[in-house]
Amino acid sequence: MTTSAGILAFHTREAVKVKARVSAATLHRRSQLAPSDPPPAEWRRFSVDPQITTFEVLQNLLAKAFDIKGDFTIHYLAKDDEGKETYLGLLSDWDLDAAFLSSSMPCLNLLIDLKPFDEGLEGWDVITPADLVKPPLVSHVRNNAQQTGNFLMQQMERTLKSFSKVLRGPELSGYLNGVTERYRASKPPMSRREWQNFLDCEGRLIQPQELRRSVFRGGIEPSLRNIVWKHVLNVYPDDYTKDQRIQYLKRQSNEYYKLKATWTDMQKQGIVTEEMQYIMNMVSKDVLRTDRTHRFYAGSDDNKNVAKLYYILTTFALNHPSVSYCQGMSDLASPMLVTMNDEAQAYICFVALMQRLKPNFNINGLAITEKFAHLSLLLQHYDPEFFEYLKMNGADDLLYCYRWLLLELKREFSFDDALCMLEVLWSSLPPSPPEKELPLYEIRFGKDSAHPQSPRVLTRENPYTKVRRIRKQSSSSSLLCGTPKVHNGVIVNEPDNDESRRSSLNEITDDSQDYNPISDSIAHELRMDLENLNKTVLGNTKDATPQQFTFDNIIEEGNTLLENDGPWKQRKTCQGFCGTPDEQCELDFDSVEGETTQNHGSRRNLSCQSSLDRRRSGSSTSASTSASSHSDLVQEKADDSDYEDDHHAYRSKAPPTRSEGYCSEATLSSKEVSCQEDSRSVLDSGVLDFSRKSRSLLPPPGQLGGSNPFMMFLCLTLLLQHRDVIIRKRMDYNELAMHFDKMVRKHNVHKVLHETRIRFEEYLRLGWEASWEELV
Amino acid sequence: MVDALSKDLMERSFKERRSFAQRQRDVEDIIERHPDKVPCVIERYRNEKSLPPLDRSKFLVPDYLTFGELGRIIRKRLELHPHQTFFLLINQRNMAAVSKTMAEVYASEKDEDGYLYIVYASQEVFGSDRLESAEAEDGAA
Repeated sequence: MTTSAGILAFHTREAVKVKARVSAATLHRRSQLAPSDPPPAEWRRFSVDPQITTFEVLQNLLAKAFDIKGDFTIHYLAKDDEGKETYLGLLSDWDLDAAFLSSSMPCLNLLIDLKPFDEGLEGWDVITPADLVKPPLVSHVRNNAQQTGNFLMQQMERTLKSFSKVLRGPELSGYLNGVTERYRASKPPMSRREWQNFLDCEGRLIQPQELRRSVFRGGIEPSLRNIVWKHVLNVYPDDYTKDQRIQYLKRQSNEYYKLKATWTDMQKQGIVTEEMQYIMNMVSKDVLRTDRTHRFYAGSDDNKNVAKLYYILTTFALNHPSVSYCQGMSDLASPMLVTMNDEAQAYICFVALMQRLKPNFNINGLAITEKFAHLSLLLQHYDPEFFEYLKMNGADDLLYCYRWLLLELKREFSFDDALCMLEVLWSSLPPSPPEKELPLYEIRFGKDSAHPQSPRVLTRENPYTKVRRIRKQSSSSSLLCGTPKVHNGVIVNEPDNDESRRSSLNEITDDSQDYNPISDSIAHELRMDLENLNKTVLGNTKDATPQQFTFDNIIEEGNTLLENDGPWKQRKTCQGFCGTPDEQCELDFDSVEGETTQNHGSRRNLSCQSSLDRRRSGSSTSASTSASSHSDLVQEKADDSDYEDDHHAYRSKAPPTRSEGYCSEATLSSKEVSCQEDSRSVLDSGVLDFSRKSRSLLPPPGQLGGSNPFMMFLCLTLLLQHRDVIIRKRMDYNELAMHFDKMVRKHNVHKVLHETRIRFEEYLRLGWEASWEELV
Repeated sequence: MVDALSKDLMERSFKERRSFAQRQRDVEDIIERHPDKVPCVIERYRNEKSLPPLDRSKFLVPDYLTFGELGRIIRKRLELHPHQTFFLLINQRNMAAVSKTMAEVYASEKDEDGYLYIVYASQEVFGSDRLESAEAEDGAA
């Protein structure tokens, strides 16, 4: 079949042709500024290697090619669902992947929109990536010399560090601490001594729930992370003594090395299947750019730790064919490796984490779609005004939050802050230890394992394109007409209009001689990097034997998806939280397939209704006020003991399980609760009324965000922290997306956690326990 | 006396030219518009004779750039000969690791007004006696 050949060809494609031009409108603007420049409406043609070209690299290439100083946005020409050609925004690595997958035959057609050069910048010398001329390529001969150089450099840095320590006065650090101090958690990070308190004399963890509460409130001391994370991540079965845990880890580590040896041995013998090759390529591309600024992964590409990360991810992907590898997993595995500093243990933790996060990477994109829907609901609930603004700008699809939801916000904070955020997030979930031992593989990978290939290898789509399609359809435009015709789009593997695509291809003149293979130093360097890694890490993979594959696999996949379409009932019955939350969430996702989207359509309408109601009833202060009043109250917190009695009364009324395992601060710190009680009395009773009403509109904690409600509230906080800037500057969709893109690794973790804890607390106190009693 | 004054005017440092409040406003404004860039003031070291001055002192530097890369860019701006020595000093006295990113340097070394102050010199000048007339002026203003 020609289609299959074409698809396969993509994955081994070495170069994608790119054709780019600056949009006429912005050129005009530019020429007005500098009339001497005649508008050059020409195309720039080059080709890039899809394996190594990241979004950032592409941006740099374009900035150089067109000599762009300021900001710009990129669009690519794609076919929409009706087959019409439209320009889609290209704003992230995921967009770029999607563009390569779907719209790069015969060439990727880019349109560049220049942002007007910032007038406020006179007097500033703006340094752009174009200023950065990379040093000439490092040849292998010079490698040695450079290593010595590196060594010297490290020595020098160490000396310098101690120097600066001496020279810097203490007053500066004091000042800096003051800024974050305000948002510090209510409790210091868990220390070794505190940790001991959760164990009995044989080292059994006797208070898993208390442990989680403690971590939730204050995090863990960094030196203790490698021990406590394993508990929080549900690595150990219940009631293991310390000795049992050590034995268990040994067994599991051996198991991991066996799994790893299976494929590395095959590789050494020169047996490399299509799937292996594909996974290895994807993984090596990603590990080379994951957290490389962190000292653990820094330096040249033959860094041992980068190789370890590569082994972990490849072993995981090969032994979990249902998820395989997907962009972003490297971000999830990287903190494990840094914290555990042991390859096998990092693998075990990663597997434990993926038990919960697997659905995120499913090619059908439903888990993420549901999270998007829930985030919309939350935003609508807590800040209808901002949501309205986003809707007017067509930005209510929230697609720029994709990275947040997929990686559970790992990339939104600097690396060390992310560790802190992650442990708080994990500990907000109820414990769900594995029943026996944690299975390290789904289907053991082996030479003669004939399991079907992972769906990913064979499709033109990836989870992101699916999610994007669904979100675009269900956002403002189609919401207006009230009948989202979504589920077709979700499940049905679109018949590939290969015919139409092909015919339109012919119209475009194939001017391949115009495409210069890109000789840019960056791209070149990257290629060298990749080859280097292939050599040092992968061994020689030259004699790859291309494996036959059958087209049936795709169809089968499609069918099973279709069959899963209906059963509402199944979902209803399993709402009772019979199993662990993880099981619950998987069950959910299995059956949700078709209806999530229909569902959230109607939920939306409901909550629109509620916001109308609220306005009418006059308690219009709504959620945004309550949020702001909270932050005021935090400062008052210190001196209100009057409310303590009230609070105790409240507490005794509530059953202890009211937050059904989700960590909350209220259950521990009376001060805070009383302060929140206070907030209730401050806001008029209408709000309470409202919250009772609204409870039915928000999904319960067991469902919100695929049973990870705290994460949803983190996302909400990030959005709300920037809502003022966004509205004030009247940002449009692209500007908004760029704004959040620029904030990557820069959010203030303490401030975000602080605000989120308060909001989350309030949500848990909406009185879910009533519905719980029914269910339990 | 008059001569000395006019010379002083010409060579006034950035901190002397703009008040604390003005500088603070500058930074707030620019950071809001460019959260991914670091506002730096890069000037010639007071007693530096062999290196040329820069034509502008305010720089917006991408925060992922390393300190070493910034050094290279400034060298290029100054069109220095490869043999000329050149050092960047933070706050007149510290040297930073070349592998640190600007974001890291900024987080630990930024001034109270929000700028990151860097001077360049042809010689290492560790721990210069920190007589910053600007600081005194700030107090008065």
